[in-house]
Parts: sequence; C-alpha cells; structure tokens
Amino acid sequence: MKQFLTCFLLFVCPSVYAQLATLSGKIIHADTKLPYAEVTILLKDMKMITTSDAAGNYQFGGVPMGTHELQYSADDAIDETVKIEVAKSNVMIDIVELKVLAGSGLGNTTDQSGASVEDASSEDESANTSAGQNVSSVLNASRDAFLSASTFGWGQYFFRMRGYENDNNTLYLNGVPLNDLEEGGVFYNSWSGLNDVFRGRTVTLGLAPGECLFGGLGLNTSLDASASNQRKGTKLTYTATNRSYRNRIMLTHSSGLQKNGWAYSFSFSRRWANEGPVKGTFYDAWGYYGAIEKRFKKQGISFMVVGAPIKRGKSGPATAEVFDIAGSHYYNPYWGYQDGKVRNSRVLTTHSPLFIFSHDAKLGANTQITSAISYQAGETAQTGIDWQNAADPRPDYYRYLPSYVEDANDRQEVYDYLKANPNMLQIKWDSLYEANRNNLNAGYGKAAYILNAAVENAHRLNAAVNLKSQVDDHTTLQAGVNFQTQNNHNFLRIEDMLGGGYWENINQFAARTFGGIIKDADKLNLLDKDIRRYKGDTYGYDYNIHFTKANWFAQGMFTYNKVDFFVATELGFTNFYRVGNYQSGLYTSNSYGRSSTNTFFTPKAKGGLTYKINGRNYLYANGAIGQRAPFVDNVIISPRTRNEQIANAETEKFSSAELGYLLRSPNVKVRVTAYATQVKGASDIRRFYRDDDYSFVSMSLQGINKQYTGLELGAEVKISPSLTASFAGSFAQAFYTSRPYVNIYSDNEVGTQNTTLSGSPDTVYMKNYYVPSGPQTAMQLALNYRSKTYWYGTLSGNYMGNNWMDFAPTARTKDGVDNLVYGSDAWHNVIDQRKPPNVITVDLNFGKSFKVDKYIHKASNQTFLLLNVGITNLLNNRNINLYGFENLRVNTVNPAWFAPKYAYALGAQYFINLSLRF
Amino acid sequence: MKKMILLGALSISILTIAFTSCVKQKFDSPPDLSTYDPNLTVNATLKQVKSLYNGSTPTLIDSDYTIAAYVIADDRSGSFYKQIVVQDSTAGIVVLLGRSGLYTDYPIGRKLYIHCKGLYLGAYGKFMQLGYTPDNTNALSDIPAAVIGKHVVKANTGNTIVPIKVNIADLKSLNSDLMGRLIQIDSAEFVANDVNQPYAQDPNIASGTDRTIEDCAGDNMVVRMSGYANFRNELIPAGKGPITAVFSRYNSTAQLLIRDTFDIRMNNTRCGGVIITPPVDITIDSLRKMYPDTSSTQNIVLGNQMIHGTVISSYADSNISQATSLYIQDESGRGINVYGISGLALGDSVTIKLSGNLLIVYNGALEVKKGTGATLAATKISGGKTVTPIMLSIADLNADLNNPLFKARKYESVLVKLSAVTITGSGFFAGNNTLNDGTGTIIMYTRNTIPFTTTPTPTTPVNITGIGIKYKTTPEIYIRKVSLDVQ
Repeated sequence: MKQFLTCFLLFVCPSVYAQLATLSGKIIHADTKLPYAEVTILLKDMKMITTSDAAGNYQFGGVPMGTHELQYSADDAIDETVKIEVAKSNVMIDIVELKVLAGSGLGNTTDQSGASVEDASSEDESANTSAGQNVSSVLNASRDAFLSASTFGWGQYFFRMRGYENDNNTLYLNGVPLNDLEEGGVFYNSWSGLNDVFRGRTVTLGLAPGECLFGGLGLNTSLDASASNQRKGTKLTYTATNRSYRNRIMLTHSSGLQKNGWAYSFSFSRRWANEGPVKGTFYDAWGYYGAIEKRFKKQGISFMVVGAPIKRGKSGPATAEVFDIAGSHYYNPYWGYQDGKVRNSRVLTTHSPLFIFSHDAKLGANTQITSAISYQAGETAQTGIDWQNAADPRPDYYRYLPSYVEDANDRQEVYDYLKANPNMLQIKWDSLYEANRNNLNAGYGKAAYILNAAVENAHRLNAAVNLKSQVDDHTTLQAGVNFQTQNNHNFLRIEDMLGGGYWENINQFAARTFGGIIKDADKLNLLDKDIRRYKGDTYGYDYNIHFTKANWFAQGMFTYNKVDFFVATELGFTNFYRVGNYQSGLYTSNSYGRSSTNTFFTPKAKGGLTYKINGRNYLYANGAIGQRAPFVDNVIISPRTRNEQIANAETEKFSSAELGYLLRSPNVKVRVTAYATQVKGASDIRRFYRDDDYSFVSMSLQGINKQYTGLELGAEVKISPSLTASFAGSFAQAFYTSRPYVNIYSDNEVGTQNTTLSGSPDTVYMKNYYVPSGPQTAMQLALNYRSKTYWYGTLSGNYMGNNWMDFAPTARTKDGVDNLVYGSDAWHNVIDQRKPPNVITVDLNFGKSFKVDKYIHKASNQTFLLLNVGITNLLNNRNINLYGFENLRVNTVNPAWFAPKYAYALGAQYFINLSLRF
Repeated sequence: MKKMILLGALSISILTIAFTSCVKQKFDSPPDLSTYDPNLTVNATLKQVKSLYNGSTPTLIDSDYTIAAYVIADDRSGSFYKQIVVQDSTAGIVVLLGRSGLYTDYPIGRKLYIHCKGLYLGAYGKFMQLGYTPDNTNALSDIPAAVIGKHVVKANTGNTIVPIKVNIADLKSLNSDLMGRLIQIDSAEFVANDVNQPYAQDPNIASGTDRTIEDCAGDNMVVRMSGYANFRNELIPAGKGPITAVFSRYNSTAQLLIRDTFDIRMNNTRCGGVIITPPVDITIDSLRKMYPDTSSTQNIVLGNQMIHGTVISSYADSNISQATSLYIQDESGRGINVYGISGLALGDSVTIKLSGNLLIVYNGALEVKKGTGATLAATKISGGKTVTPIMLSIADLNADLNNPLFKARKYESVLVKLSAVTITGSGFFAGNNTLNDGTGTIIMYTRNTIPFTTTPTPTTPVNITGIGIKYKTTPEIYIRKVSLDVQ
C-alpha cells in the first residue's frame, strides 16, 4: 500500500532502503559564549523535537539523508534557523549561537508586519483598480535583507514583489493550498491578528524549488501553525498604536509537544478602535485559534480551527480637488453625521472560520507522506448606500463639486462654501432619512435610499497529499496532488431601510430605457412573486460561481558537491461556471441557471541549477514556463446579470528566468538576483458606467502581454558584534508589451448575447505603459543594534519611486482622444501615465526585555516582560501616495469631472507593545 | 493546577476587557422634521420679487429678500428635471436647482423659504425662472448643488396646495398672475388625434411633445409633455374630466405642464358623447391590400388602424436621401415606405398610427403619407432588431416589381438578397450599377455621396442584400451600407 501510494504520486518507485544518520550539536549564548540549556530544537520537516542539555548539547537519531532545517528557539532568544546537509551517518553540526534579547519571537518585525497587513487590506478600496488589492506582506519574513525590507519597509506602501499581481503568490497552511479560487490571490484576513501562532513559515521568492508545491512566480509561503510547532508557554500582549486600530490584546497558550505525544495550543486576540486615524473609520477585529496534535511513533494527526470576525469602517480614495477643499489627504467620503453622530457607510464585515485536519506519516525510513483536508465557510459583506429615483448620496459626486460649475465666479463661490462647510463633503444621513420619510408622508412607501451590503458567501473544500522521499544521498523526490473546490454565492442584501417603507427590486437603467415599452424589461428577477423588499431581503443580483481546481506536482532535487539542481512540473486543471438565481427581464434566456463550463489545462515546468563556488559563494539560475487559467471575473462578462462570456477565453502563458549570486560569510551576506518574466495572452474585464449608453458596461481586454524585468539586491554587513548594517534594493520594470483588443458590452440591452456595442473590437494603445504595481524602484538602508544589556534598536530609511499609477484603458483608445489635438497638452494630460512623487520614509524600532524575577522574586525564572516601541514614517510625511487610479468614465471636454482618485498613506505612526511571557 | 487556575482567571479577565470595550455601531433614526418650521422672517412676496425682472435679460436680485412659498411641482415623475415650481399666494415661479432627485428634499406641498439675494431672474421661452449666473446666451444656470442650502431653507411638509379653478378661456392672457401657479380645469378632454397616443414621444426624437386639450365650449390649449417623464409611454385617456397643471408659456404659446398622470382624471363621457376607440393593429400586408385593384394613382384615406414593424432603411448610412423617408417591414413579409417621420434608425422596432393618413402611389410605389389634419408619428418600441432578407433571383424580383397591381407586389419595399451577382458600371457604388445573376439584370441605385463615391464595386460575384424598389417604371434595389449588404 505504501509502495503503491508512493508510486502513484511520484510515478517512480524510489528505493525504500537508505541510510539513517545521527546529528549532534551544541548551542551557546552569543554574547557570553556559555552553554545554552533548555533550547528547543525542531527538525522541521521530520517533526522531530528535542531540548539542549545543561552543556548545551543535543542529538537527533534516525535522520534520513538530505537537506534539513533545524529551528532553535528559547524563551528569551531570537529563533535561529540553520540549513544542514546530511550526507554521512554521523553529522556534527557547527556550534550555534543564540542571541538573547527582548522581543524574541514577538519582536518588532512581527508586530509591524501584522499591522502593515491590516493597513494594506484596509486600503484595498475599489475593485475598479488593479492596484490596491495587494497584500504583499507576510506576517514574518525570514531574515533575508531583501525580503525583510520589502515586507516591513515597502510592503505597507504597496510594494509588490517583482511587480507581480497578488495571484502570483501562493500560500500553503499546514499542507493545504489556500489561494482563493475566484481572485487567485492570497488573503490573510482569515487569521489576521493571531501573530503569535502563525510565525512558523518558509518563504521562497521567485523560481526556487518549493517545499510542497510548484509555487507561483512571486512569493511562495508555507505556514505551519500546528500545535506541536508552537512555543511552549503563555503570552499576554497589549499594544497601543495609532494605526487602523488603537488597542490590541492577545493571549496565547501552548503546551508544546508533551512527553505523551500530545500538543495543544490556543490563541485569542482583539484589535479595536472607536475611531481610527482617518475620520469615520472604526475597527473591531477578533481572532481565535485552537489546535491539537497527537504524535505517534511514525505518524501524527492534527486538527486546527482558526477564525477572525472582523468589522471595520473603511476609508476611500478621492480626487485632488476634494483633498484640496477638505484640506487633508485623509479626507474620507464614506462617513457622515447622523443625528450628530459619525456613521460610516462602508462597513466591512467578514468571518470565515477555517478547519484543517492533517495527517503525516513516515513510509519507511526516508519517505514521508502528509495529507490534509480543510474546509472554510463564511461571509464577507460590505455595506453601501443604494438609491432609486433620487440624488446621488455620495458627497464627492462630481456634479456637486466646484469643477462642475461653469461660471468661474460661481465655481469659486461653491469652492469657498464647501471649504467653510466641511460637512457638505460628508454623507448627509439625516437627509436620506428625511427623503424616505417625505416619501412615506406623501403616500409613497417606496424608499429612495437604503443601506445595502454586497455579500459573498464562500465555501471552500481543499485537500492535498504530499510525498517526500530521500531516494539516495543525492536525490530527493517530492510529489503531491491537491484538489480544491469552491462555491461563492454573491448577492445584495438590505441592511437598513433608513426609515423607508420598502425597496423595489427593479433595474432602474432598464426602467429608464425600456419602461412601458418592453414588458418586464425592468424586472431584475422575473421569478419574483413580489418586487417589494425589506430589511434582510436579497435584491439586485443573486448568483453562484462554482470552481474546481486540481493539480499534480512532482519535483526532483539533486545535491552534489559542486552543484545542486532541480526539476519540477505541475499539471493542473481548472474549471468554473456560473449559476444565476435571478431571471433577468433583459436577459431572459441566459441569466437564470447554469452557464457553460470553462475548463482549462495548465501545464507548468521549472528547473534550476546552483553552482557552489565554495562554501560561501553560490551562483544560481532558475527558469520556468507554463500556463495559468484566467479568472472567472475576466471571462464572464457581467456575472451580476448573465452567463454571457467573452469569446476565445484562453490561458495565460508565462516564461520566467532568474540568475543570482549568493554570498554567505560570517560577517557579510549578499544576495543579488536578476530576473525576466514574460506573460502573454492575459485578459481583463473592467466594469464602469458609460455615459454613451446610460448604462453600466463591461469592457473586456484580451491579448494583454506583459514583461517584468529587474534586479534585486540584499546585503547585510556585521560592523561589530552588536551592530549590523543592511542594504536592500529593487530595481524593476514591469510594463505592457502589446496593444490589447477591447470589446464593450452593455448591461442594458435586451437579450443580446455575444454582441458588442462597438460591433468590432477596438484597440487599446497601452504598449510600453507600466504595469501599475506599486513602487518599481525601492531601496532601504538599515542599521540594527543589539545590546548585550537586553535591548535592541533598528533605524531604517526607505526610498520608493516609479510608482506608476493605474490608467484607464478607455482613455487610450481612438474615442478616448477624439476631439483632442494630437500632441497637445490636453492630449498628453489624457494619455500620459501618471506617476506620484518619489517617497522617503524613516522607521525606528526599539525593544527591551526584563527578566521579571529580578524585580519580583516570587516570579519564575521563565517570566519575561517584553517591551517594543516603533515609529514608522518618522518624518511624518503625509504626502505619500499609496495608490491612485484613473476614472474609466472619460469626458474629453470636461476631464476634471472624472479626475483620477488617490489614497494617501498615514503620517507618523507609533506602536507600543508590552508582553508578558511565562 | 495553580497555573491552570491562573490561566483561567487571566482568560476570563481578558475576555471581559475585550467584550466591555465595545465598538458601538447601532444607530437611531434621526428626528422627524416634517412639521418643523424655522419661521424665518419673510419680507417680500413672490410677486414683488418677480416684478424685479426687466422682461428680457437676466436680472440679479441684489436686495435681501426672503420669500415663503410652497412647492407645487417636483421631479418625482421626471416630468420636471433639475427644477421645481413654487408659489405663494401672489405668484408662482420655476426654481432651477442643480441636482436630480429634488423631490426627496423638496416634495410637492413642502413650505420653503428662499433667500433671493444673489439669485437671478430670467426666463426660458418667456416663462420666468429663478436661478443662478446666466451664460452668454442669457440662459440661467442652476443653483449649484453645494449651495442650494444657502438659498433654499426647508420648512414643514405635507401642506395641501389647492389649485386655482379656471376655464381654458381664462388662460389666454400670458401675463396673468396665474403664470407659474397650479391651476385646475374641471372639464376638459384631449383632442381626438391625441387620444390613445403615448403622452410623449421618445426623448431621442423630441424632448417634449405638445398635446392639446379642448373643452365643450370649443376652447383649446397645449399641454406640454416631457419625453423624460416615467409615464411618457402611457396612453392618453379618451374621456373628459379635470386636469391639474402648472400654467406656463413657451414664447407666445400658453401651455400647461402636468406633474404626473394623477393630474389627469378624465373618466367621463366626451363632449357630445363622442366615443373614440383605440386603433386596430394590422399587418403591412393588410395595409397594402387596402389599395384598390388598380394600377392608377389614388389617395386612400386610412381609418383608425395602426401598423408595426422594423425599420429596414438607414438614413445614417447615407443611402436614403431624406431623414423623413423610411422603409419598414413586418412579420407578414411585406414592407412599406413611410414618408414624414424622422429620427429612426436601422433596426428600430416601431408602431405607426394610420388614422387620417394617406396610402398613395408615389414614383411608382406604395407609400404612407401624412393626411391633412392628421398626425403621422412613430412610437419606437426598441432597437437593434434584424430582419432576415428573402433570397430570390433577379428574374423573380423583376417580375414581382413589374406587376401592375401595386397591392399584389410581394417584394416592393422588402429586404431581399440576391446571390452571386456580378456588378457592372462605373466601378464605384455611387449611381446606377447593373446587377446580373444569370437570370436577369436589375439596377442597383446608390446615392452620389461619400462613402459610395469612393468605394469601388467588387469585381468578383457577390451576394447583395437590399430593399426592393420600384422607381417610376424601373425595378431597383437599394443597399443600406456596403459592409453590411455586400458580401
């Protein structure tokens, strides 16, 4: 059976006979050079654990040949991870020095990154931009200077690894793939705030071989949050900060792997703010985690549950005109006063508990199999105001702004008036209630305004089996299969009637065009018995998307004296279809029921070579080629209304290569990588309101080709035993290399299928425009001081530039520049790609640990108080453009009406973190 | 054990802190202000303010006048757009407010205080308005949305506005104080031509449509219907009864503006007991058959009937000389040329009322033309329809078009398709080219305009789609657009 499984997964039958080795080593204190006792040593891939004795010695027996990672952790020291190669039966590991200091384990970096993840996701406004959805940060990057800078220095400013979209990153948690099947990306929301228990991770960047997966082109993260991997003990943390939240408490308790083979761990956190740094925002996020694991002699089973109920009021981007009137870059159009109290119209609520059950076993001496199955279900809902036959309630709607006023004096008057009455730039909740009340009083029960929520109910089932086998001293083979299925239910729900009587489930645009002419054209759902809707009812749209994805993966890694090389391949299969739950009055025949199924086969292959010049200098080269399935949003033209799809949906073809040099010496560590990636045949659908059609339209772009090239540099120099200087730089160019063709489809036509408004495809002239992917140039210089007296400090400076903005494809067409004089200023103003100014930031962190028994003699000697203080953006730069995007609605006569929108990063932010560990 | 207790106690205290420091997000509804009146000091009547207007060019109100007035018309139905009409006991006026959905703030029956200083008095078609800075054509602009609150202060809602009862004869004076106020005529009916027509035409054809009411004394006047009103497709009732409206004018024409269909309650018997029945929908085939069995030219006055069909001609593509000439075809497979309706495009689905109009022979073919005193108008139902052409040989087409009995022709004004024809002629589309498919020849006529003058004819056999035409004595075919019809 074992042999069969192995053969099935690997398609080869490795020998099960191989040598086993014994490892031994010693740990000392970095500062005193004295033996370090009671250090937990984890042999990661084998899940073997031991503790150092009083002399600092430790030993593992029965370790298979090959490459392994050892993780050293002690209660009062920073974790250290060492990679070893086992090629003979008795291996003596170099002496490991552990640095004792404050904040180990919950160090500055953990907190910072946690916050930047939250900040990044709290700014992920508006689906109409391809920028702004990025959550590039990982909760705790490995100690590579480049990864660390990109995560903690630039990540919060939407820096993206190599300029890739989030869907080029992959994430495995306890062995199951967790990328979202709808958008492809990696989302950390499901367990945000639980930094204590999501520390264990392996991160690979680019085309390096993955741990248990083929991986994407970008950042590949594998998290191990199983109970046995958690540090034994209890930790209580309080944080005060001025980020999205103001307070945080966390409580974590882990048993560690006990002698009876059991391990359990639980963690709880809450982050909250009644009002965040941006007016109108609030934050209320909870997190819970529980895990239990049982290790047997040759196998182990574990179960984990994690969830994060989050509710927060969002902030939104705005145009330069509005920022100017508001006098602040932190103007937020989403809130307003209701009866004198601040109320936010965009409240995001999400909670998707995740359950993972996993099993691992040794099949013979050198083969290990891990299996995992996960289930996740939950709801994400974002509120907004909806209105019918009433004025647009958005306070920054273009018709309410000075630029809409024709007469110059009047324009100035409106400007002055808004400046003097800042509440005019906020939502007038009282008027919305009044409008509904006036309607009721006049005998019309129909509400003019309601508060709705765009709801996505997702169910995901993932399963994976991975096999790793050490065939001989030189060869490691890995293979895996995984299967993912997901069902997303999308609909609108009424959250608050705002005092109105009922809401009508009708299509206002169709009513305007076809009302009274074509019977029932304005019905959003012909199956409705009653078009009236009340609080809690579904309306507007209602559909499901079903996804299935399966992969087979195999990898061989070969280690020799001078060279290492690997080859890997993945054969993938993806399909998806839509099921409409509404029968639209406009699209009677293709809105209700199941769409045709889209199926894509996606083969991938990669390989690489590392040449070891000597023990300190390495050269490496990797390459990959393959295909990726398009996302459902870029295939189904208007999922909210109908099943219609673009013609000729195709896979995206990528090819990528990287070349690097690595220096690892005791005092200097350098990594330089040059990479080049080509992506061909990508597609995109943008949805917006088009004046020509009095309707929302979908614009499909097909045949998008992109190129990503660049250089990454990370260097770390130890100036003295306690002072380290590091430099990191990313010099990237990500740009489009084709002119995609576009088709525009109206959402307000009767029964059309596969017909475009323009008749024949149009061209978008966007060749050589930059891919909007955050700062394409980024540098960091950092100094890190670690004192022997249990404190540390880090000062870092960041430079970020070439942050090319998202541009509107609509403006780069023949129609987009119609009426403009070729080459004129106005013409340039429309078509030139925008770039916000370059940015310099300075961050400072400080930490100290106190041994509590020094002050309170009753406390155990394992009780520590840890203090971290950090300030990011120390120069309080409030002009940092986080992201921006142009309006897809184009008006060449009055460009100011549909000006680009921007969002700005916060000024100086502090956090004070106090933890008690015992 | 001690540790477990400690841990338990700690967990409980943490949870307590977490739960008690709640982030509150429940909201009350704001107070009801529908009966609130700020009781501002009023120092002028609307009539006094209106008298400041010099009658021709926009006049800035520079005195600190505050008036109190009631909303008598709002934009709920779309009949008014970006304007409301207000009146006090002395006069009424249109107020231009730069926003949509005004009725939610300024519904009919709401009392308003208007600070007039800084506003302009002007007029559209001599009907007075209160608005903002005029442009260089002397048209007032709307009060910008942001500053409406500076000038218009809301008071209590739900006041009943009692319309002033008048007869049509009372509305002859264009300078009366009734102008801009809500009036009611107790007994009126729409003229027979307007009955069962939609209130207004498609706004793509005209932004508004004039309908006419009359009373039993023989007086009549215009009711101006907005093409943007949500009731524009409803049909005008045939009965007699009261009409409530804002009294208005367009230059020298007095007119009424209704707010919604609730202003018209005409359920009683018409003057003189006349009964109007709705038109009978007939096919184009039936229409053509109304022409007598003759090859001579006659004018047939059509009865209370209507036809429907799809437009198969395309003025936009230049091969029809007049915007008012169109060809329509219906499911009976027959077509007809209709003369005198503009604004329609290829593929529009329409209905056309025939009552009082004429079926005539013009230039050798049947045509519907406007009759004296009658209305010839199309109601557009939808767009984007396609008609499948009938495949036939040139010989068959010629034979049909040469039939001396007009009513017997099957392909006249019908979309037909000729296959594998060779084109001989000037080398360009413009003008007369000869088509030959081996069974016979026919003239393909194309107007002498761009793009036809510059588009060369194909030299190899092609399929031609076009409208079968009889021009005087010659059978012809008209294509619409080269890319569409020549393949």
